[in-house]
Amino acid sequence: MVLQGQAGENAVVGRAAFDDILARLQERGYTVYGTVNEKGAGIFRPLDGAGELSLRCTGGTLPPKYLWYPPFETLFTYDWPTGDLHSEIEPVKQAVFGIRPCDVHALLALDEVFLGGEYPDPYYRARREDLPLVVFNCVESGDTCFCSAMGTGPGLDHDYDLLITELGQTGGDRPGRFLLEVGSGLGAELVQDLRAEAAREEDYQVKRRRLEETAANTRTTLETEDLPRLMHEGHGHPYWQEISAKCFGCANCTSVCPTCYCADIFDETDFSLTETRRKRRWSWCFLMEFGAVHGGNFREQRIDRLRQFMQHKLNFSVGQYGRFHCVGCGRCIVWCPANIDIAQTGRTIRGDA
Amino acid sequence: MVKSEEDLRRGANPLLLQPVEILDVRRETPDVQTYTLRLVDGSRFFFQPGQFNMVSVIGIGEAAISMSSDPKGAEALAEGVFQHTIRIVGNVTRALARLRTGDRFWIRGPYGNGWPLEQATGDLVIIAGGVGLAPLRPAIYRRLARHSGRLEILYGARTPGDMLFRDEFPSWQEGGARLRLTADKVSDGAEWPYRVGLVTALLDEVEIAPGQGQVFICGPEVMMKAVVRSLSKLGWPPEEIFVSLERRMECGQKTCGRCQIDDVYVCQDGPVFSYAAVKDLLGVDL
Repeated sequence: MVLQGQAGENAVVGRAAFDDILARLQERGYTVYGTVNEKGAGIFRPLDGAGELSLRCTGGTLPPKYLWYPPFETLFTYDWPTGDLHSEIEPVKQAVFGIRPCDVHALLALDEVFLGGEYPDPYYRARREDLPLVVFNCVESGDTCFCSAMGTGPGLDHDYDLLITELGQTGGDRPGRFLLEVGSGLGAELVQDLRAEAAREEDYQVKRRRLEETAANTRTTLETEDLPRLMHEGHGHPYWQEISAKCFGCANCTSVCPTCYCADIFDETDFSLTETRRKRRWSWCFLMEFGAVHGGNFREQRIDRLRQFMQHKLNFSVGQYGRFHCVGCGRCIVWCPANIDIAQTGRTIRGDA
Repeated sequence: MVKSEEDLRRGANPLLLQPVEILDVRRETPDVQTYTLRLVDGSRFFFQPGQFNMVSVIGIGEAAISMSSDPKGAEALAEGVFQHTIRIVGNVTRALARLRTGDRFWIRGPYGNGWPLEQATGDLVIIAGGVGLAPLRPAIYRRLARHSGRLEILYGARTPGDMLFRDEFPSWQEGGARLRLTADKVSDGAEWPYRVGLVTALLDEVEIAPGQGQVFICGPEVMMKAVVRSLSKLGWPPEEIFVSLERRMECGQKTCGRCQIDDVYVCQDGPVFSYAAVKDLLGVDL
């Protein structure tokens, strides 16, 4: 069959279709980022060809967050000779090929932070408004993944342009087969006229089974029922002492978190003293100065800062936005040099460990 | 919060700044000055008592500073002027202290929710510590203009010389406010016909009783803690006690994350909170 190019249309394709989809995104002017395995680590970087894409489950060592929320950005410049402020916000054309369901949920969480309030952030909006997402459902679970506990994976059923689920190989000489689901008008354009097999009922069954198996095989768990209340009550639990004694305060966890959004705003003046740039950069609640004001620090002890991070993810965010700002990607667990584990912490505080 | 005309005019980019011109600088204490300001474009700056601006000195940075003037005073209405009363505590405020009449700096705002003056229909007790009187001054002016209900002001500072707005006290009293002052320390021989000690010591002089109105408090958190505890013992319900909290802020619009306490953002959910709303939050010691 040939795809007609309609939202809601589904088909089964081979891996060769990825090249067509990538080429069509690039023709439309998008810089297309995907997870590439480099030196044993999955990183998001611009793709040269779809063959580079890693189909391994884990969504990359680092999240793709920097594409819509860069670590440093200039908000405006001030020109000293003229006394004028300049702010140029250009729409950015980026696409992500192979983003995972957990990272899509993290993106949706950041949408609420930056666009959902009284003051929509125009810098974020310029990178977000035109951001095609080709999503890979996860058919394998990483060691530290717990998306199924957080309700953010391993499958996605919304907010994708194209959704791809690996169905596996059906015979020795058959290349991999993938269920392709079209979620938007842009997604439809990207696959129009592509040669494909019609999706049969058994293909959907395979998809369902593989997602169920992935969820069932998850090695990291966390029961989220009533978790915010239990975390609130467990603020004085002795386990906080235990893990804060190990914590280096290095902020690795917050640096790799796909939902962390805290920032500093600061001025940078060039050496010619003609221009000052006001910049925004990521900040981290693990830094000593994060909660400091004149005359004191509201989170002076490391235990206060570690607890702020975890309480925000597993408790406060639910009060703020109605969703956990932990999507169960497990990256903070991977990157922690002290083996502190947010899922383990949640289990311990709630008494499940 | 109330969206002002300025907010709407800034429209697309809330992080951009507006220049203000300094019309007057007045020294309040050795380290506090009051700046009388006007937007350079001549438009009126609208705000509610208790709200704040992000104040910028380009090249140095930004700081969150509350407005200290009457938003509906004669000068505000006629000339669009407003005031910030600023203590020198960091880089931005130190840079501001070097500016003179005719100089400019930059603002964005107003931010925050402000004092619940419309709810406060009964009597009102205002309790301030040090520079904490500045964000309460707009509320005092609005309250005096209403000519109804009793108004009691308790004000404490480190020394008599650290008290803000002393020359305005007689006019507040003439307007019907009952004013009680205290200083933590008074040097020997200084003329000080008021109390010596912490502001909590003045609570036994308050005539307004629990159930008759509200209490607005602003000062260092340790002072607010002592006051709130004492008021609770006197029978004031937590719903009728309001505090203005201070936290580090970079943005003022719920994205920098710095001012979070539990699930509230001080910049937008506050800075004014009822004691009932914050007493059980993780990260507030009141």
